[in-house]
Amino acid sequence: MTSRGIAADRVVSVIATDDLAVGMVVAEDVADQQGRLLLGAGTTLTERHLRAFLMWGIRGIRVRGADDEEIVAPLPVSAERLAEAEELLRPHFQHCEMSDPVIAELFMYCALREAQHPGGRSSHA
Amino acid sequence: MPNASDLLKGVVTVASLPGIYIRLSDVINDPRSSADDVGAIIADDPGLTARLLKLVNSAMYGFPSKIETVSHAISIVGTAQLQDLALATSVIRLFANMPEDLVTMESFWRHSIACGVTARIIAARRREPNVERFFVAGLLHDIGRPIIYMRAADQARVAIDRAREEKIPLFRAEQDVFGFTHAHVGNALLETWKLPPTLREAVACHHFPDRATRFPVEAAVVHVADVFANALRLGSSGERLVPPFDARAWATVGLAPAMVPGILEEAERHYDAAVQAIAVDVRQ
Repeated sequence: MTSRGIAADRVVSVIATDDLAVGMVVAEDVADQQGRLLLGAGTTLTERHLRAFLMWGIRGIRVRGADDEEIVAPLPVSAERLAEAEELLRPHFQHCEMSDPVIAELFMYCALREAQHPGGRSSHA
Repeated sequence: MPNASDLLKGVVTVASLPGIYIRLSDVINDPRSSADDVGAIIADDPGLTARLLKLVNSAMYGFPSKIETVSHAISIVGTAQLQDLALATSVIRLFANMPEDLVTMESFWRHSIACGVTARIIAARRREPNVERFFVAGLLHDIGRPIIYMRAADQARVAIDRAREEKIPLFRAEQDVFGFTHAHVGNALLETWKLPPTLREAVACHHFPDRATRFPVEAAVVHVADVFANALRLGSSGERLVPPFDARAWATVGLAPAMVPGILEEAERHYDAAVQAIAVDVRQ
């Protein structure tokens, strides 16, 4: 599975701020830690936005471009690793409605964390 | 078959709320008292003072300079908030001698603290005036579990085994085995302690937040925080799955789904500091 496969699944891709480029289109509203809207969905990123993200402490955002050839490695981990992490965690989430946007965010966060730090902080007794 | 309140009978260690909470209530509710009177009560208990100062100096608060005195902490955090924090840092000690065959108290408190910290962050995002109330509600949400493990260990083991075999959430297995869940027991305990109804309803309804009639926001926030804490697997109260998530609770919370990663990241950052500050002496 390639990272392009992941992108196709998700329609949008999580892109770390360092990997964002001018011309990418914001897929979801960008808010700061307090929930204030910084940038609306549909905005095309400019150089000024990229600098502002660093200033605002935004670590990454979702951009459109599932089938954009420019996006090669949108995630901080390999697609294989992420897929493994998702498989590992899926049983844990079996009573959750995976299409719910909150659960989708929660699952993605946990899968990325698991992919980056396998077994990481799990302190399940 | 015993009911939820029956399980509490004869539990000497948790028969009464930490005296400090009652003494603080008396002073805070006395219109003639001042912040100094509150400070004097806390300062009387060196252990509590140390825990509170450690907590308010932790990453959870992020104050630029060190808070060295109780009066400084009161001026920054507030008296009502400090009373809730005093409860949070004192209640753990009541459970120091619980049996640990089913779940270790360390694992239990780790999950409880993760839920409390997450509830507090969600409340802060909502700009709630007293975020510490949410912290305590999250901290206490599963408090019925150690009571069940102590008073009905055999049946609790049956419930835990059934949850594992049938791959169902533990609270459902509890309902099957006992006819009630840890949420009922927790509510009964908080009633015995005469804690405020906000805390009781948040604890009682954390798996069914739509049943909260008086304090739906508190119940919804703790529900979401419990789901997040279980997903992050920071400790466990016996549950091995992410409990079912009620999307209506998120609607009650009223935040954008895009805020979820930020909440989780902050929860992970604050978690270690909170564990250090309030659970470091669990075993004493």
